[in-house]
Amino acid sequence: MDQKAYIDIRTQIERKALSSLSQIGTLDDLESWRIDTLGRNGTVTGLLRGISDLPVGIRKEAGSQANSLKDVLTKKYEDHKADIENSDSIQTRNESDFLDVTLPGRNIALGSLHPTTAVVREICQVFESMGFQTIEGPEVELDIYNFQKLNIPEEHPARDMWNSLWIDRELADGSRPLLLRTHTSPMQIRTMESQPPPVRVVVPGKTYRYEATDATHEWQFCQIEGLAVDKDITFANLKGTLEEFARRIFGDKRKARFRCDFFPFVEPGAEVSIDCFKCGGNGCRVCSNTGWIEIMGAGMVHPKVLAGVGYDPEIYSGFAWGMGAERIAMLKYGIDDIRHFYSNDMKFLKQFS
Amino acid sequence: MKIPLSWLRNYVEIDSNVTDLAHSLTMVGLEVGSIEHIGDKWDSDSLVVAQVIQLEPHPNADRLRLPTLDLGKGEKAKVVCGAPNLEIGQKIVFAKEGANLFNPRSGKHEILKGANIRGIESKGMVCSALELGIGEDNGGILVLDDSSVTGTPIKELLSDSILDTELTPNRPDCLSVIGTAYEIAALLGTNITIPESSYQSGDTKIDDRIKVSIQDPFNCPRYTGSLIEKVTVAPSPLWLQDILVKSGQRPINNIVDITNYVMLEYGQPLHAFDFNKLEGDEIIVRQATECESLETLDSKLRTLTPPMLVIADTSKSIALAGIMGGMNTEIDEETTDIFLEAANFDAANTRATRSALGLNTEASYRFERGIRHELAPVALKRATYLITQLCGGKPAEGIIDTFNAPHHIKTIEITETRFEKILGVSVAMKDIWNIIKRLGFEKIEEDLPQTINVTPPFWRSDISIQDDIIEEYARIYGYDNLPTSNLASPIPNQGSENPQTVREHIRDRLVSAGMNETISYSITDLETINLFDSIPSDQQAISIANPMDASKKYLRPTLLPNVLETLSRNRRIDQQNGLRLFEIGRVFLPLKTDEFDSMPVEKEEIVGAITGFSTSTNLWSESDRLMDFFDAKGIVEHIFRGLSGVLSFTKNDGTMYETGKRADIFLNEVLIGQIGELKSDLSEFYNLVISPVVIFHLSLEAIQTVAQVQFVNYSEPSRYPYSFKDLALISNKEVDSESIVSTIMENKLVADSFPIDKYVGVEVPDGKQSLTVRIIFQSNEKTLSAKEIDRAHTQIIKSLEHRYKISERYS
Repeated sequence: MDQKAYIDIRTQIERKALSSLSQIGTLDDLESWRIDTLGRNGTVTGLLRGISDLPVGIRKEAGSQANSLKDVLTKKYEDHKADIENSDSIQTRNESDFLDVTLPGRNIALGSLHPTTAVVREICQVFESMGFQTIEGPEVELDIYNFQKLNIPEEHPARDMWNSLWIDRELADGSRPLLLRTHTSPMQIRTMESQPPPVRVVVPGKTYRYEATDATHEWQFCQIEGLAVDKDITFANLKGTLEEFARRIFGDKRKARFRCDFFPFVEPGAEVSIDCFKCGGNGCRVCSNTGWIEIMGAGMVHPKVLAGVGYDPEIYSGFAWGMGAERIAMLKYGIDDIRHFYSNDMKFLKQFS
Repeated sequence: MKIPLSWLRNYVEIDSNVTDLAHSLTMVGLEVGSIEHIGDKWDSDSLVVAQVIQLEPHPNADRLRLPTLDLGKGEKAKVVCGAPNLEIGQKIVFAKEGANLFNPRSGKHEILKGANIRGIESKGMVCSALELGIGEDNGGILVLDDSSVTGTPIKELLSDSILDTELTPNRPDCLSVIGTAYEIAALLGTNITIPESSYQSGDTKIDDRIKVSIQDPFNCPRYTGSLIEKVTVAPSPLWLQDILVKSGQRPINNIVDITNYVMLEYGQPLHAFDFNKLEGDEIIVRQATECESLETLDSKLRTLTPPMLVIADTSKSIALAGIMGGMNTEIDEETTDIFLEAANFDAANTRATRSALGLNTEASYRFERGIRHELAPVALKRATYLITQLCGGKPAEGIIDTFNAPHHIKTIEITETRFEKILGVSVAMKDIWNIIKRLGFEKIEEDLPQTINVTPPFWRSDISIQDDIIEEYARIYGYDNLPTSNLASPIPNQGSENPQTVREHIRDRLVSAGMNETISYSITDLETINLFDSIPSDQQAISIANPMDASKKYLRPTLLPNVLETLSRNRRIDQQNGLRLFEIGRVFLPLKTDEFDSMPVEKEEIVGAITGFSTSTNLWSESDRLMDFFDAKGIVEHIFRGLSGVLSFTKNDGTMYETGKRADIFLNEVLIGQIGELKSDLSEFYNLVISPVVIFHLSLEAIQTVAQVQFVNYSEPSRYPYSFKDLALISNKEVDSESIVSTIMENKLVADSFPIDKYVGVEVPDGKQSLTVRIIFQSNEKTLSAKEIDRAHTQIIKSLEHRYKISERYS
């Protein structure tokens, strides 16, 4: 055999081995290929053995050729084996360890603020940003503070606006001095009595009325009072401040409307409404087809109230307001029954987390 | 107050539509709650006035008749009618085919179709008040006033709108049609037509027949009366009945109806007595005697006491002043002579009497709001006039007018400067005057300087100071038309310490720990108070005198039961999920019995409660466990991170908690509350037995004596590596982990140390426990060598051995 014939044989073996290798997809087939090609009786081994039969002059060159073929095929074999193993392992993992991304994530216990707390905070923060300080006051009040100093004498028909729950305690004259406060307005008096003007406070707190409970009335609720008194405070400031409040709470497109209303401790008195954010003022269920939603009572502090706490009404003037926190929360969140607030059902409360 | 628009039009011209009018009234303070439209479904062509010109019997039915009707313009119709009150000559409402009517049988509005009734074709029908939707009466057809012109569309004749105004207590003047008309006149810039009230009197002089004496002039500042003889008591004319029905009143007879009509017209209550039932020739206004009784017109016998005010004759009381008349002097069909009263009674006394008797009437409602006494003679004359017109009779000459209040017309000074100070805009006096004169104000000065003196209209009782007039100007001008500006004055100085900061920090921490905030009612019952032993036995919880629920009349002295109730309610709805909730709220401590007008002490408490599984039930990847003491403790520790003060827990048993599972909580050695597992009998009471309930109960006041929201106290983190060792220690069971850890922490090289495992069982001797503690060694100065750590380790073991006889488990 001459050199050329030897190289032809080598090339043949190489082609055959590579083409059959490319067809192999399993480790078992690969193993038979290895035995056929690189095994003890394999074709490449046979080629190497045949070197000794060649003329001495070409033996070295032939040996080098045969060995390089062995190296190439061994390399091919290893690569192919790795490929098969790799593809096997992907398949296996997909079968046993598949990630179902639609399973729920691990639960993180999430707490929640009561919606009343949440809305009280939000409202107080709006006023705090306008220089008001948040303060609080007693829930059991004296008649003097809840009514009399607010220009609501005994047997005044305006008392019907605040049906009271009286504490079971009588003075010698038969009158009852204590009650659960019917509004946060007594804190207007307590604040002004405790400090000279100027005053800018916002007072959230629980209030109580003798009132049958229905979808829009609760006997216990939270009110937010506000008071600003200084030398040059006007009705224009009242409007400006409360319009700003309405925009910040209900959105910057909201318009506020002021109509005349009566509270004995303010003059002039006003009721503040916003244009309905649901229907934009065209009339819907939320605004009872009026286009407007009432959000609070307000007014200029009555000169008698100022004089009563020792502020000179000729020098000082101010405005005050009071609103129901639950009402604001109901409007903001679309809650249609106030009784949810104190029934404390977790299914209700957790919605505010 | 219900006010028919048609009635208002008698006094003021109204050119705007009723919806706009209602809106304007609402904006100026007279809130129109609703508008009832009468006849808005009526069609002008198919519903007209007709006259009955012929009436024949129905050939096939005894109860049916066949009227021939003149429909005007030469048109006639013959229909079938079953109404018993149909008569020839009557003006009635005729409905042609196609008319939209209420069908009492179906209860719906339907389109009228022609029908064959017992063999006679009937194209149209004669209508009852019910079918037209203007009344309840369906017993017969509606008979119109004789003056009605045949052929006139009913829409023109009977359609109306009724405004229902919801009035604030300061405006009794608007509890009247004329008062409301004045508001409209001011809004629209028109004038008021005052109704007729002058009459011709007879020969009798009133002073010869009766006199009035007021024994309590404070409670009755003015009393006016007139006498009308030989009246005929009968049903009122239809127009009067119609107006009263639309205003929500029940027609009774012409005399009573007129007193009600004038009350609605002027806002002044009146009362008519049967003059011949009076004994003696004197009316006396006095306080009731002790236990005096009077049968009022609602047929109830009332027991009266001073200072209730009565109207009396010389022998008996005949009316409850300002509230209701007495049966003994009631107007009836036999009545011929009447004494008419229009008086003024004190607001507070009227209110006190009506609330004591539970007798709220149209009259008391007006008097308790304060009515000007100038109104009494005006209303008296108007009613006397109407009686002469509608009931016949002759009024005696003159009226009684007993008037004890000073004749004092109050003038109020108004200035441009005050208007500007309050409204924030300068307003010229002429513009002020232009508005307030329309409301009936009068001025003293001829011209209009910057300051003028004015008198309020005599029917207004709510105007006493300049600021009241500023409101009058502002509301008619329109609040929305006034300028708007932001606060410009300097922000007042505020204290640096905000008392809510600590509480709100705690609230936020609780929420971030997965707790749900609840808010409950501040009241409780006696059983709960006793169950929780929350009041010292010699004291009493504060109770409400007029509770809405008699069983829950106490103000809560502790917040704990409220949270347990909330927990219980949620457990009833949901037996699966873990519950974590808290409440922050006030409790009320007992009043001191010797200080009758002292305020109770209110304290804020924080209560948290957890029970059930620690994770949610939909968890697919982990097994679950029940929450225990250490979950709650973890939450408490979480709360106080970020607050100043060192937290510690000391085991201490107490009521309401399971023995051995409760601790006192201290902050800087101040007792701030308790934590523990709820006692089993309380768990049973609240139906919370399916899993242990762990609660913590903190006093905010105690916390605030120590804690402040901490400013961050920064320290440089060590730049050197740390290493750790775990020590398994055998100790007596009494030795707590805190003592062991604090001993370890004394070593200078220890940066941190904490227990990582605790074991009690067969592998350790009886009475002993094995606690494994991790120790973190780290220095701020250098990397620690193995030798240094080993030395520290040995020192630690020595101190533990020395102090607590603790040894290493595997040494």
